Amino acid sequence: MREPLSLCEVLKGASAPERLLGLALARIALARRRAARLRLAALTALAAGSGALFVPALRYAAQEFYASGFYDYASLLLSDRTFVLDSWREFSYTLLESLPSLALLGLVTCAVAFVWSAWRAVGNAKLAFFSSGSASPAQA
Amino acid sequence: MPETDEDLVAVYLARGNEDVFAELVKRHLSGVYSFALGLVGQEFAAEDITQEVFLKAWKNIRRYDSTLSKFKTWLLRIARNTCIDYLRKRKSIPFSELASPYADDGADTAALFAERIPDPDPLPDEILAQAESAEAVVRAVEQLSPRQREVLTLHYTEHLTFEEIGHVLGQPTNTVKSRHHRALAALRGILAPNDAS
Repeated sequence: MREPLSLCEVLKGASAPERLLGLALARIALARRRAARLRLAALTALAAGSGALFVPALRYAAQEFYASGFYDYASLLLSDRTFVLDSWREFSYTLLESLPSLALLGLVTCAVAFVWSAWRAVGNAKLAFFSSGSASPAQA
Repeated sequence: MPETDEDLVAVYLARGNEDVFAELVKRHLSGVYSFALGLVGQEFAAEDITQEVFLKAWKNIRRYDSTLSKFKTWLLRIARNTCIDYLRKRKSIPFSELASPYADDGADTAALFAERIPDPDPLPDEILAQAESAEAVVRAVEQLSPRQREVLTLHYTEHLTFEEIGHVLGQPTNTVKSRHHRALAALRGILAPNDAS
């Protein structure tokens, strides 16, 4: 007597070939390396650009710093300490107002962009040229 | 206690450890391959589609929302769409037109069923009882339209509920149930064409 079958048993599905797991993971690894190389190229360009802009930004900030009078006001700390202590609040405001803020902002931006992009580029270089890595689209 | 798929996805998104994603691939590889094979009917194509599915899942893992569907359901939806793209490229005709003589759309086909099938509600056990062998059932399933095959495969092979199948297919649950019913009726018609009652 034939044993009863269920449709679940009949349509239980085919098992994947053994090599398929390796193929699927290799394809993902290849895509991961390709994405890492694209990010590396973009980050390298950003690092190069921000690095190239850093020196002109530094010169501009120095030029604006000396032209703003900040140095003159700051030197009062050494030459007339009594005046500074008596009117420290006004002195502080004057110092802040005289800061070449735009030039300093540009300088800091270049510096941060260079350090960040260089650091990320190193991380992506490991992914791009070595087989294992922990970065993923989830963390890109 | 083994971690659920959704737990593994959360861990992967938090730490980016590729071994975690590899574990998800291992768990669902056979299921996706089996589903793809059932739809496209070619082992080589099914292998290629399976690889493509997991690549798409890896690229879009941040879009997965565990509150909307299970990971398996989301994955099978990707698999279905990938199979449809493959079938469209191969046959150069819309997926909806890929039908067997036992397709579930059209008034003529409904009439054909009415002539052949005395019992409007065939049970899966009844279908199996009429078949001479499991191979006959598998061959009969292959004759069904892709839409009917996918419902049967998702329900009986992947053990999805009708609601989950609805998520995979982008269809309401009642539509899935209706398609399932017609698929079983079509299957019975193929397996018992000489039923005279």
